Amino acid sequence: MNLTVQTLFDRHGEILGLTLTKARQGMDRLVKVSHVQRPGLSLAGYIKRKKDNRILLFGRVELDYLKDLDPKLRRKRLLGVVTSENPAVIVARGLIPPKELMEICLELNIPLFRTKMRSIPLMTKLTLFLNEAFSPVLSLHGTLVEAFGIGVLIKGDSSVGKSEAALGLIERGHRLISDDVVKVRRKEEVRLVGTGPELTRHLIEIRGIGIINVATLYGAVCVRNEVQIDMVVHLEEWNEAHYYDRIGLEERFIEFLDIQVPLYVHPVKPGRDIVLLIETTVLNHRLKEMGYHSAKEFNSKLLEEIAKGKKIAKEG
Amino acid sequence: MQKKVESITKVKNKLGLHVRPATYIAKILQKSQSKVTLTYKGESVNARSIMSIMILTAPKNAKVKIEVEGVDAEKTLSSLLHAFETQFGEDV
Repeated sequence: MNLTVQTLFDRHGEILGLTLTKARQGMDRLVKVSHVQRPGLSLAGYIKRKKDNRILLFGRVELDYLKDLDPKLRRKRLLGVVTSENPAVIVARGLIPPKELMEICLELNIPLFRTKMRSIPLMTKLTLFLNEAFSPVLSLHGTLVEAFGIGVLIKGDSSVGKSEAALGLIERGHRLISDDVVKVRRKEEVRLVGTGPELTRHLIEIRGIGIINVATLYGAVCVRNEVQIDMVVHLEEWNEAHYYDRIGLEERFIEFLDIQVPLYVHPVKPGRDIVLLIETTVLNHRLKEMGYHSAKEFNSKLLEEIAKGKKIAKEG
Repeated sequence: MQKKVESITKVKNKLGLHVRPATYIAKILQKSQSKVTLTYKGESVNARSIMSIMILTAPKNAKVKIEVEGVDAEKTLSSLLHAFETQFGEDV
């Protein structure tokens, strides 16, 4: 993925309150890492372990320190911090960048920004944006819907009935995120968020009808742009040889981008209302999340009864 | 026997991979039993899905990679290449 300073500025410049200074060249420089660096100690001459490829952020401490230095030393110290590897430099708190910093940025073709934001909130927000831009993405074949607030990824071979299942769910008041192609992104290292490509957003292709736009057909309430993927339902043609889960004690998972997601396999067969099955699976999944596991609960009750029966049998 | 073949081809029709070519490809694949993936600009999609083919937004002269895996891989690939070559039956 190639993220240029220009792209970052276009996407988030307004929220971060960034304005370009005279040093405006080098906007095509690549941002390669999601970290933001405050020069801190490096300005005092301690440049060991300094990472050069990060965006530099100068706050009040840095500028106050620089102000106390003699101009020659100031330039020397800044040259030790700002290198041609740094994609951009930002001065926070609406402070005026020292002349030497401006000169160095101009010499090295590094864009220099100013913002009124304070350093810490700026750093937090910028890191968040960068993390998102650098998070791993996966493109999947499947249909993503939201039912009862749970993000459900419906997978399965072509023409098994994923789109039809989604249409049925929409008709019952659930929401479509994307049909056919789902872009999955890992967020905060712990969860997966799915969305659809811009071009085919809210469109469904149904064999025999063609391409329909769900947002216009059923209304805006039936669509969403993105959702967290909480579970996966795999639809497959009924296979007599395959043993399908009949109790629900076994829990299966599927992995995307190193994150495990609960997986439920549903065989498709005439007479099986797949929409109702998905709804029920979702509700049961929600119940499990809330701490009630129907199958486990039943099993422990059964074991209890058996134990009781054993006692009676003994006594009798 | 499972076989895997691949080839890179060029989009030759004027309008690129729009609705009709996408449908044309999906139609060809109805007869095939192989798994077919199209790749353009780093994006890989399932070629059986019309919508997936369209999100590639491949224009004329785009170089598309076709990967076929399955029992009839070679036959499927050659019919796909033929489709690209004959511009999906579209007039220039």
